[in-house]
Amino acid sequence: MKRHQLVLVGLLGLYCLITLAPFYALVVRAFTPTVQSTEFHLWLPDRRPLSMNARLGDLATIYSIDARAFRQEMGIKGYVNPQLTLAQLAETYELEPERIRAWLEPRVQYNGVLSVMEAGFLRSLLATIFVTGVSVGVGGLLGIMTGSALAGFRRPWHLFTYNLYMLNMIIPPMMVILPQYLIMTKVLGLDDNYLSVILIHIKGGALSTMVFTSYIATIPKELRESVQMDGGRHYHYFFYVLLPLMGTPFAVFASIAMPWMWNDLLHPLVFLSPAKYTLPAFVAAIGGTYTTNYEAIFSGLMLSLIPILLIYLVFQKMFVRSAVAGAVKG
Amino acid sequence: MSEVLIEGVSKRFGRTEVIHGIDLRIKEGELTVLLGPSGCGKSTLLRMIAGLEDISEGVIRIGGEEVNDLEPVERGCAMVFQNYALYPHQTVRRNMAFPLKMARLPRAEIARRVAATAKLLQLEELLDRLPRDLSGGQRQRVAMGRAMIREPKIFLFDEPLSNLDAELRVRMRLEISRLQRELLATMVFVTHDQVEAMTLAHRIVIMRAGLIEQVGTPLEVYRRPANRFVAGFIGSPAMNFIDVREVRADATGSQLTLGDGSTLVAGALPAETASVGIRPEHIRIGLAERASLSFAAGQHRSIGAEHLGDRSYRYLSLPFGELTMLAPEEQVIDETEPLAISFDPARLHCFAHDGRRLERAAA
Repeated sequence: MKRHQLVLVGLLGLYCLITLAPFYALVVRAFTPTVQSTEFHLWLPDRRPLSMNARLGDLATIYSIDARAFRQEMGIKGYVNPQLTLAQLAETYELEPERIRAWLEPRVQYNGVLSVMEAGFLRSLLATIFVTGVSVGVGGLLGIMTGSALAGFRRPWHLFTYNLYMLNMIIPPMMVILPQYLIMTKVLGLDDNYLSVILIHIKGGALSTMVFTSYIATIPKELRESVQMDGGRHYHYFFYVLLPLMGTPFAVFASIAMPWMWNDLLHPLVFLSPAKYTLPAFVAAIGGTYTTNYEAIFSGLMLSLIPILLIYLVFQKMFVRSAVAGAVKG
Repeated sequence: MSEVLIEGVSKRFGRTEVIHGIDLRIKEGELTVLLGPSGCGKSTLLRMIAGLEDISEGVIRIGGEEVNDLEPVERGCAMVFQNYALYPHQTVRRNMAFPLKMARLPRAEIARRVAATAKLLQLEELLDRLPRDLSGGQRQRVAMGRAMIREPKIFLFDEPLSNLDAELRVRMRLEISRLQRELLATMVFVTHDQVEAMTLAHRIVIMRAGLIEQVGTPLEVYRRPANRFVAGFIGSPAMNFIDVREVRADATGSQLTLGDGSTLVAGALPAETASVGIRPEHIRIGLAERASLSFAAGQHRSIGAEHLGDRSYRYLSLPFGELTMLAPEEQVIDETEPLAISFDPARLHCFAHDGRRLERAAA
């Protein structure tokens, strides 16, 4: 390898490291106990054993531990004084200290991941996949239909319509959140319904309109005419010719729009109840009421990133492949 | 019957009229070429026959039936596009089967016809490839296969050979004319390439600016062009035109006064001749023929020569204008010597002021 190539590879490597550093920090943070969260960690900190002198109330507050679940697990009936330490608890209720430790220690040592899981991470993940999937799919389909109508701007009003879609981009979502809420709940009756968030995601569609309109304009009009000559109707053209060619623009659209939909915090927070929160709202809600459980928040962030990263990598491959296939059109 | 009859057809895009009332008869079983410079409306006319463009005025009949309001498929036309318009995500087999699928033919029948057409066009080994894996000529053949699989009454070709390289163009030209003979099909072929037109056509329709200039067999339009435009358009290099100032007739024939004042003696020519045309291959150096022009040393200048191997063209600058002629390769034209050129007056084409051809009185 030549010297300038080495320098180039080195710089690229450095760039990769810089890009990946936040993800690394996030993973470390996801396993850093909240009590140490003001300290700087480069590596996962050691897990400290559970102290039997800790008070049950403090543990419940700081580690978001469900005191009622603890009582049921230990077979304690009635009120438990949260000021009691674990050692005193064991004495008062004649419990084996080891039993208390066995139940509480993992919840303290791996507090972040476990409390995220217990708060309903999987349900929230499924909700997010549903909302994002339907939004990307339906939004893409609508974009293809809009694009195939507008491509080429054959009439003056085509450009006007296109510009209206583009105008949609400059409206800040915060500003219209109240009228949108009123429309969703009072007019459409979509109170606490995933459909409301999906509708918000696919409405307007400036990005999809832009991507599909410009791509469809590059498809030769002879393909359409050929279908016409062969006796096909417009829907034949749409389903047999146009849709199969939409892989590239769809990958472009999905890889840009999907992270945005996946990470949307505002709309689920406004339109959905906590039991139906999608991931970002869910993560924001697990912080706790009186204290902030940073370990849980960071774990929630990390876990909610993994699926989108996987999806993104798959799409990235498709994206690169289709982009290359289009470049060497012969 | 699959004769195409075009009666008073006009086409307007918005306010611009691009075709001004054309009448044309395309005979059954013939290959008719629509020829003309770009923008003359030949493709538009083809697309109106196909049904891809509305007809602003006039009537198109196919096999006696008016087709103005029929869908393309109902007209029994198939079209081969300039860029082939193959469906890029479908294999050759599915591309060729597409028209039959649209016609809802049974699957076995589709397979049988695809196989038969592929055999005819020698596409059997390519059936499972995608269009992007094919060469230009193969794509062209697939496009033709897709057009003929429906057994249409009329084939329409929109400059199908212009994307091919020169050698392939010659081969595809032969192939198209072989297919035409085998299928006895009515074909309409649009091109701006006169060599294609001359070699393929039974009948050439020469168009300019939305009007038909002449209809005739290739040799007819070459030998008896209807006007100056056709005369200049057909033939390469183009015909030479010499402006005529005056025609004086006497007992021996006509004396033409050319633009520069020199005189040319030719057989009897119409009195209103405003210009005469002569093809490069009909001009000789020397005084071998009846009509002749002589130039003193310094009056003529050679501005170029093209040696094509089998023939050579010379471009001369003469007092009355520029002249192209066919001359043997070894012929030397020396600018410091006098030069004489001559030609048979019977080869002269006479044109009136408005460019119309003037027939010579039978001698």
